[in-house]
Amino acid sequence: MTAIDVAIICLMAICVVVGVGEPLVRRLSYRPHGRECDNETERLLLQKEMLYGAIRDLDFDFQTGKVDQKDYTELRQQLEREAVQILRQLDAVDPLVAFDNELEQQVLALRQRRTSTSCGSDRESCSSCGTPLEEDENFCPFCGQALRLS
Amino acid sequence: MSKQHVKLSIGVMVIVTSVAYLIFSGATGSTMYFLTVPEVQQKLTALKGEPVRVTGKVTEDPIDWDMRNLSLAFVMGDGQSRIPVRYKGVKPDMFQTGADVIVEGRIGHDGVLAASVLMTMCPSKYQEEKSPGL
Amino acid sequence: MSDIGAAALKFAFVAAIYAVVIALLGVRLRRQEMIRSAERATYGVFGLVTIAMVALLYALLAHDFRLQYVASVSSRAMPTFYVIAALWGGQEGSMLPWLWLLAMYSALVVVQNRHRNRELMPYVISTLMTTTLLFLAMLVIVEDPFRQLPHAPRDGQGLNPLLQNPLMVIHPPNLYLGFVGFAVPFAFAIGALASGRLDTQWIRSIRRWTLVAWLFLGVGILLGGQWAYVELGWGGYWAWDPVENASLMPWLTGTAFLHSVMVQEKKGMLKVWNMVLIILTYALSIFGTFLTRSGIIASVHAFAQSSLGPYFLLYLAGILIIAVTLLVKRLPQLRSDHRLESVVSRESSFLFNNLFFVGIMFAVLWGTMFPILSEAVKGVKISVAAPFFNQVNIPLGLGLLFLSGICPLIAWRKASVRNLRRNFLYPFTLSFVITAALYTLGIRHVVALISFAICLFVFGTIVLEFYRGTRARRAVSGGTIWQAFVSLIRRNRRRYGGYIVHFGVVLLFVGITGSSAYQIEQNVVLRPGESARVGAFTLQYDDLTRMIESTHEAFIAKLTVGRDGKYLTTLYPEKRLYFAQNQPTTEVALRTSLFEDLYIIMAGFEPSKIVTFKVFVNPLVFWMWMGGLVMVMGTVIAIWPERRPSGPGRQHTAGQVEMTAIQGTN
Repeated sequence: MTAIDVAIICLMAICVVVGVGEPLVRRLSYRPHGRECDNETERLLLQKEMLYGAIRDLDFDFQTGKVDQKDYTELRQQLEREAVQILRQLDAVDPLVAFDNELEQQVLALRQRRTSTSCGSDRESCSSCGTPLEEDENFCPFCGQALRLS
Repeated sequence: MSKQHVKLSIGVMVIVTSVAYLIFSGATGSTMYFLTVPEVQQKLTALKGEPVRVTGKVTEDPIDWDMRNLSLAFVMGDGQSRIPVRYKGVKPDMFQTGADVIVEGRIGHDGVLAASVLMTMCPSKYQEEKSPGL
Repeated sequence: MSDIGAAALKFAFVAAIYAVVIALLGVRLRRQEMIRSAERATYGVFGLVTIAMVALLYALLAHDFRLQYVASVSSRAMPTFYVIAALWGGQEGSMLPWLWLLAMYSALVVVQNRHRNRELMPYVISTLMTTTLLFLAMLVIVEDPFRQLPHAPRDGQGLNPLLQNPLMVIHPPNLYLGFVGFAVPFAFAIGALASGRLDTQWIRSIRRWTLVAWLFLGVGILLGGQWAYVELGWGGYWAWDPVENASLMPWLTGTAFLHSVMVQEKKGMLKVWNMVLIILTYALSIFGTFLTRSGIIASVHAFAQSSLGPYFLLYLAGILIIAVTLLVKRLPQLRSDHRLESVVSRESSFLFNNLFFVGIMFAVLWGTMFPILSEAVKGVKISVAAPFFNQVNIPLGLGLLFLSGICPLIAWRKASVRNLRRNFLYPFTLSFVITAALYTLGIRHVVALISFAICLFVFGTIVLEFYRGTRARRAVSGGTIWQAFVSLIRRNRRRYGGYIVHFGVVLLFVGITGSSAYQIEQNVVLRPGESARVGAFTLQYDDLTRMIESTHEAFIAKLTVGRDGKYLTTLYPEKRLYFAQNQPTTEVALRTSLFEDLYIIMAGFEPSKIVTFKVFVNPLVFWMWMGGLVMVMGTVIAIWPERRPSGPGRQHTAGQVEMTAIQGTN
């Protein structure tokens, strides 16, 4: 073991000790782990994400023909109801989120109204594949046929 | 939703039972005793005709390698015990006197182990070997 | 230089202990600075281990034969490429690269999560550093790569020539990356359990880590098979050898985990199951390492009996006890968020596929461990041979393949049975028609037919999925077919990347089926000038020549290969005698095509130049490796990061919630 080796080894040791010890010496300010409120918000946000994901999946499954119209309408309404509920809960818990969510709430409510009314008898069917349609649909969601423009 | 749960449980049970059945029936078919040469000598009469896997070393007895018929005859041993082996196949590169071998086959009435599988390991300890065995 | 390396390892050992202790203290006493210090220590361990790696590499390249390891795995005559590979090609060396990878992963995890997952990180760090300690302990105490010989030999022994092959260079690192990679998801699982943060956040954080580990492990397994095929000369690629099984088992549970994790992300179900799976996967990879390195089971991967065994077992027992205790403690909090809505849903098909994977894993585990268990229980070792594994795993594997075809046809939550039946029809028809065609063309092997039928079916469902998806995409946003196709994949990387991986698996099965069911094996004894016919090939043995190279002496046979009367290629099977070793090695002559492999070895030769050739014709092997490549492609697509949407005011909370825009689905 040469003198250079010893020097390098000492250097190594010093670097490690300094690097590791520095935060202790500097004493970072203590940041408390999440307040209860934060955790609740986060939980609700995660749930909201999950629901939105489920709605997206459902839409896609319908478009690719794995779910028929009846199941689709039924499931979607269920999911939208749950989503609106979560949004309301979020409002109550964290006012900061409220503005963001107001917009989403309105969009969801709009869609909910549209889906529930289109369950009536005055629904049109796609001329190409026969899938029942909602109002103001530009393309048939099942076969892609272009429809009348609204 | 318990109707769905019942259906699910049935599906799960079907799969689990099939797996268990496959394992059980497969195991009873392809198992064999894994013995050392002395152990084989002890139970020689009982083992005749049974599939067996034996571990030992290649002794210093003459090795007969018939290249044209791919037939290898040698003796494997462990201490005082010995067993003659006849293997039909390619002589593994690692194969030589003193090498550790694992042999699978059946012992015939003549006391010779007719081997279908021959695995060789290098006699030296520090090298790792991956030997063409089968 | 090597002294620096040795010292670096010892310092790393101390630093790792420190990291474990201070991280746990920091979370108990709620002091941020302690946790930051633990992070620094993690970086420190990485730096020190890197120095040790560099030192060993330097010693190898400089032929410092004073080091026992360098002397045993390298020699002056070895090409530089393989000298570098000797870093992992031996008993002692192969621990250090492994340790380095683990240290690198740990440092990477810490960097990635500087501002995230703060509640989990102390536990993640201490778990990762404990694993690092395992390897450091083995390296420092038992198998020191820097151990010196009393005097330096003039030349080293050199690496076993069987290992001097490019495949052998990349096969171990891939496996290590896989094995070590699973330490990260495991550490996060422990972190989630220990901290009580059991929501899906930990799962999202580890998604890419798990995929990467799984990818490398899978590639490592395939490379091992390819190496065995090309190098070992017995005409096959998988022998259900204990070491092969050891790498397969964590891959099986890892694949199950990748699927069931999606169920938890979407519906908050299977939480306990996922915990069990990741613990099992990690335990199996440690166990696999143990099986490979301890020499406890007779195998062609015959590492010498080493004293490392107890270390692994102790560590394994330790982490299992801790993991299971934590799991039981948190059981009440791990209840599902939702219930299963329908048996005909993607969730339940994932559950079934998990059962298959775990079933196969269990069968392999049983077959591998049976000799040891029977010895412990009955006092006599009972061996399990290859037929057992094939008998059990072929039906299960085919069943799994079939499931992978059905599953894309099923919707999440609840699928409409009528739609399902209709969707089933197209791929089924395709499969039926082509299988019938194959039958008329002469393919009569029952299992092969079933396998091809299922492969075609799965292929059909994948094509259908891409077709439908592209059409739906076009309906929503117009554009050309190609644009819609690309946009579809881009927005649904996980799903369509996954389908591509499934397609790779189909190709893999095609290759396995062809080469297993229709292999031709023939021995031919020829004098120079004679020919023989094997399968559709004509082989003419021209001559046997002897050549002397710098490292070995070679006996090379020249074979002219023809087919249907026309010249195809010339093949040169060899027998080599390396000067540093005293056994011959066999060099396989291989000609690959899309349809079949022509595989020839010299089983023996006489001074009269009469040679016995062993000839194999292995159909469809090319598609196995092709399948592996496709699987890699699919995984890369699935891993590729998506553009993060920059929405205002999206992050309110201390921990970040990964927000994906309303674009993609899985």
